[in-house]
Amino acid sequence: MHRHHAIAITALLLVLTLFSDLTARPIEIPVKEYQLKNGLTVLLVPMPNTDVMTMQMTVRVGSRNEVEFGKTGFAHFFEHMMFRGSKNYSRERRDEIIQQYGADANAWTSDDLTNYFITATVSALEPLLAMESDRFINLTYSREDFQTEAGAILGEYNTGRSDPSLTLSETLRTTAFERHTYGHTVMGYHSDILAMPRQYEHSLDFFRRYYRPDNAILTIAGGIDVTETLGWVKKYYGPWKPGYNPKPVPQEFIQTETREAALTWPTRTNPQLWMAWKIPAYSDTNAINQVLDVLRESQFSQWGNLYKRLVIDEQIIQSLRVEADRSRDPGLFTVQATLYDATRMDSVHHVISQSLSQAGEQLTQEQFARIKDHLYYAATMRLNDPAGVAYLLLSFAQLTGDFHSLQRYYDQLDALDLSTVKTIARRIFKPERLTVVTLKQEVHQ
Amino acid sequence: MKRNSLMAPVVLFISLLMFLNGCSDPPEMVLSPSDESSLIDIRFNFRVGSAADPRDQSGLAMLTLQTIMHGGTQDLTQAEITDRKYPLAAAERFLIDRDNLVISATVHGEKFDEYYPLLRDRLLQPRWDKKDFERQKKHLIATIQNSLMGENDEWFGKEMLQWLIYPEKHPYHWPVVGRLESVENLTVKDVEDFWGNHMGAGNLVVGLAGPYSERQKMQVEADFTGFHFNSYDPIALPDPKSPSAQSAVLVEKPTEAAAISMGFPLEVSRADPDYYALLLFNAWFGQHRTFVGQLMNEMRVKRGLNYGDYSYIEHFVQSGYGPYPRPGVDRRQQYFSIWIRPVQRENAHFAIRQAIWELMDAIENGIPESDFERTKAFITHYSKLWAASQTNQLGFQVDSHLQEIPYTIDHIETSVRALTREQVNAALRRHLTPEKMHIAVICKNANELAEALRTNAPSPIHYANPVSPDILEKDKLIMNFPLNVKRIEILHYQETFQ
Repeated sequence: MHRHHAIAITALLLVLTLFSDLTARPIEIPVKEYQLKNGLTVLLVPMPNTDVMTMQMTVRVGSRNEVEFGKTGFAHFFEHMMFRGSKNYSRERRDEIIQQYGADANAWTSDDLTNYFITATVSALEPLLAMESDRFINLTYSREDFQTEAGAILGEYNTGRSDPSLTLSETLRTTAFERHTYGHTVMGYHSDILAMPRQYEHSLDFFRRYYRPDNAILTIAGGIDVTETLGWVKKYYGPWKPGYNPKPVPQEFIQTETREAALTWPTRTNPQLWMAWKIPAYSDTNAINQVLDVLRESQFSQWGNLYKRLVIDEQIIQSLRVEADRSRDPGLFTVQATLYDATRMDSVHHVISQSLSQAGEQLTQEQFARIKDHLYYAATMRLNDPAGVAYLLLSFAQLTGDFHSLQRYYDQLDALDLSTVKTIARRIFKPERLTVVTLKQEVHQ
Repeated sequence: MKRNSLMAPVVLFISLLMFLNGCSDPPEMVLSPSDESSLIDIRFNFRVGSAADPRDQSGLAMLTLQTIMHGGTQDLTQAEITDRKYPLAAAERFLIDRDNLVISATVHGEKFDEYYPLLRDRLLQPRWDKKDFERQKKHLIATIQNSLMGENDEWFGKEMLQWLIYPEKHPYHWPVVGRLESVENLTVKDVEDFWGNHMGAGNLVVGLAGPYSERQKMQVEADFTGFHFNSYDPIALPDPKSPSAQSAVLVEKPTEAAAISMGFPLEVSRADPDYYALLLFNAWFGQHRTFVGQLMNEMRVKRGLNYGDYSYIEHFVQSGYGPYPRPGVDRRQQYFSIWIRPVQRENAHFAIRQAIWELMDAIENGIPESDFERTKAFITHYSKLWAASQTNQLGFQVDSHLQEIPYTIDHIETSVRALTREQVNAALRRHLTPEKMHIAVICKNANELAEALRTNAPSPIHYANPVSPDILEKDKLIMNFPLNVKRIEILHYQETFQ
């Protein structure tokens, strides 16, 4: 691993900051961006007022890439295998180092990415970089370890099994998508989880194919010295060989009518209504995600029209949760409504559909300006600590490969006008884009 | 902190108001001024919690806090408050535990003057709108009935453990959300009375951090001076009863996996030197959501039994999505606990046995010499991460003020550094009593598990995949390891918090 000749990096040295005088709503993060010769993107954010640092390795692979039959949940499973040791750092040695430096080390997987993070005091940065880089370059694990870890995955699946949200989520995705891999959850199907111990060979191919520097972004934020940190990054990640070789992700068919599924649940639960509309992939070149965020706020935030009506005034909804995917491929705008009374399901369905398609017309200029203020201040609130800064940056960088997408998002939001909101709301919230899943408690005779 | 000389007349005026307020006492204040952040944190920590709920009114403190925070003020309706708060994007949180009721908020410094009255007036002059109250009550009932008992077996298991550790007459017996029948009978007058009798300057600590001004600090102090009462006597707690043997409550529920929590009372607080010996031990044995603990390594990593296995030397609430402890949940009486995340039902008996086996083994042998210094380094560094944000830093500052100890994070470092291995191992033997473990399990076929526990039947672990011979050798010891469960109660899940 100590092959210094391989450390050469491109002199892109784009020392950039995310804000400029041209920006009306600056997200003030002093990012310094570099790219190693092997293609690894490195984002360094010095925060002189803290002695804590976080390093986040974002590999742009997630459940979206599980294109093979019977392999759902594999990206997440593989995330677990990254904690089983590497050539120069056995699992036990790794745990000792984490203990020695009092680090918080973990990872998470989503549809589009797998993110490995370590947060620790800044004095631990170099030894932790040395340890971390080894598993991306020299990962090793036995077949037995691989099979044992599959038990932990089943255990993770079991943690959420008493909550109907897991089943609702599985059903919503399966119903909404026919071909695309967003049709399964990150956790994967139960049957595929049970079969995971037999996928050892597949795991080796998965690592070779996706865990490459030209498919990854390293973000380090906190009380770091940029020059020193860059030197260590070159030294430890320079030898990582490029060779990203993804399998094609199937495109989804065009949906032509509303799809529906109905579930029952054996234990006490509130009725639930999940409604999801197909939305386009995230793009820097349009403002669709900004419009969806505005509509989410205008209707479903505690200040929103539907929230006021259904939760506060009529009290027929216990909770409303809404997600507008920012995803690499076309995803979903999902409304999760928990009701008190199952007989109100149809009327709530009707009210939500109507309100969303007409939301643009109902929005006043004053409300629109308040939403913009809220979204901007809520984002800058996350700049409170190194992890918050890193997450905000990587959440955009992972989508496009370019961290400037973060500022572009807020610039486009600032420039957004009401007529665009109206047009996009009408275009998205149509019955032919909608999937509906309901859940009611089983009735025992 | 910025001190603007132009503010002097304002400060003088507020001082005069405070003087004219007569003999009313100001609340205790914990201050952490800083120009390095653009955010101001404000924290109201009342030294009262659900332990103050009357016996037939469990859930009262929770419903009071919910009604206040999701309600209006004497001048503004809930809708008007929400309308004014929205563009400020303040992060508001509230948390209630047995002995603490905490309201905290983070807001941009430039927006503090707009935001603060919206929070202050809900605390000082709540609206007590019947509709706000009914909405929150309905929500709380659904939370108990569906979220707690129906949908979240891990939370359910933890609450059942406390239900078992603290007998019915103990103020810690019921969960903070209460039980159904008592919440159904609560009225607006009940919550208003709770607010009047239990939330006042006499049991309040106000924390302030960030780039606030002297004027803003004095304003906060003046506003809460004389609030309701100047002194407060917390409800007395009976001595926790330690059982003579292990006991179990098994909750019958049609659920696929088994959720397990176990523990016993622990008479050690953060002011006690042994707390830091146990903290160090726990970092080695079962630190929450890390891979460094013995439990995690023996149960999950080597055997793939479940997703995680952790231990705690005090009541623990996770801070957001992170693995760190959340400040504001300190209790006058504590308990040791082990959290075994859901296991396949057929492995439940083995998992219970293994957790107790591992704890007994750790107590008998102590922390190995080879791990001791490394664990010391771990917990002194790791605890610094708990306060990485200004919000949590202020939380721990308020906690340490209440506990009358130096700043928690610094105190951990100082105390842990001074410990010897012998001191730590002696503290384990002094305080940890796995032979008196209370066990709570949420599972199907509870009768079968009860019978297996009663008869100490062998409980072989069921592996889906082969494991190494040395693991199988140890498994043979664990599967026959005799427990001493003398009292077993089986409840149907719907009757627990009814």
